[in-house]
Amino acid sequence: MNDDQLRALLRLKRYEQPPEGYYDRLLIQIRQNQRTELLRKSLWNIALDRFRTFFSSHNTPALRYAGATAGFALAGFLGLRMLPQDPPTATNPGGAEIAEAAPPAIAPSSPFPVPQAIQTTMPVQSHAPLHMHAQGQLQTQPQHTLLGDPWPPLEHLETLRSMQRTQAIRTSTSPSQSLPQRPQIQRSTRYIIDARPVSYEPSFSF
Amino acid sequence: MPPSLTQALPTILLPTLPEAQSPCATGALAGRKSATMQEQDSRREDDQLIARSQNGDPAAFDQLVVKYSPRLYGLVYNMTSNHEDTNDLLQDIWAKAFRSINGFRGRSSFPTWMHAIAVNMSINFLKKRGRRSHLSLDDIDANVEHDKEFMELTAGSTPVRETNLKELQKRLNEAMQKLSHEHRAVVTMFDIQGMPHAEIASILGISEGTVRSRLFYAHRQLQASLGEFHQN
Repeated sequence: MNDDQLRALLRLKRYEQPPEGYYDRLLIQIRQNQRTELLRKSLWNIALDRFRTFFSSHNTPALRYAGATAGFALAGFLGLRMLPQDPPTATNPGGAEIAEAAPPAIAPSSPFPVPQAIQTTMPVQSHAPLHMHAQGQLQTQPQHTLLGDPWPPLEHLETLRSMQRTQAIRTSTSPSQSLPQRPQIQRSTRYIIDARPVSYEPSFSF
Repeated sequence: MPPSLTQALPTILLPTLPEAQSPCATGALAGRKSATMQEQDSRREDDQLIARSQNGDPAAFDQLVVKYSPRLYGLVYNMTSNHEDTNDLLQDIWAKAFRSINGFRGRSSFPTWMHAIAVNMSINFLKKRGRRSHLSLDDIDANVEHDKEFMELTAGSTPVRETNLKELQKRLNEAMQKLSHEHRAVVTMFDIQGMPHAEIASILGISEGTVRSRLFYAHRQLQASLGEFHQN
């Protein structure tokens, strides 16, 4: 069978029509269905149906994607806003406000380079101000005890110690201005030459 | 031994083709002009009926139902091959059109819009129905025999040829059922309802090239199915 014969055979199918009077009955059935549907539906369902129909007529995929993206962005923004900053404790009802108010010992503006890994992994409590004593030992301010955890974790303590050592070396040559002022100890400058201390102080023995 | 169907077909079917009637060129041109004018008048009438329907006139919507139900019936019936299913689907299609008539903006013609609704709902229905097939074509085929053009077509044919033609139609319906829903929709709209490629593409939301491609593969599949019948 060639293509023309097939088309001719298919064209015969257009004569397949329903019995006479079918379309009149169909119209009556459609009217009845409309009435039944209106009686059966609540006002809310009718409104919802019209809402759906309105949006189904605007079948634009780009608009759908844009709407979905905007929805996700809004949900993300609201989610971030709703996240608790720091759970308030009995001793610290203000939460993270104290930690933020405290001057950071190793601030980003500090001249000492702070490893990025430490900045990101250190908890909020570890940002408590560090004070170096004259003996070069690390002391942390007890401000972070207000946040519940009295001491930073051990792994951070080791990191802080190594940082402190580096800092101590640098402060001997260029004192940091960001460090808090500590009491100056009056000492005479001493120099050592050939394992014997030498001083600029004038000798009273002539 | 019945005569070969492929030999009988040209003598039975081809004289009914519009191309085979070979009208003169001026007559064809005049026919096209009048067809275009009729389309314009029909579209103007549709616009008025739609506007009245959108303003809440149920009588206007009834007129649209009466005007377009035969075309929709042909589409849905050839998609489902079942009269009862077609009847149910037509009611659902018109119910949806009634609910959506306020959203019709006239970007496409009303028949294109209605065909899009009908095709989508028919394909959804067929997917839900699955592979269950309820052929009730014999009831409808009986009406073909009373059709004026069909009677003229088969006036000179012998009873043997008529029997073969009916058998061939039955086989064709079965072969149509073997097509995918999308291919069947294209064949129905192009070959049975005589719609142009562009309108089919607009209804289905695909390109004209895709329409032609689907038609090509559907015809090959139908020919293969009917070829088996001829060999048997």
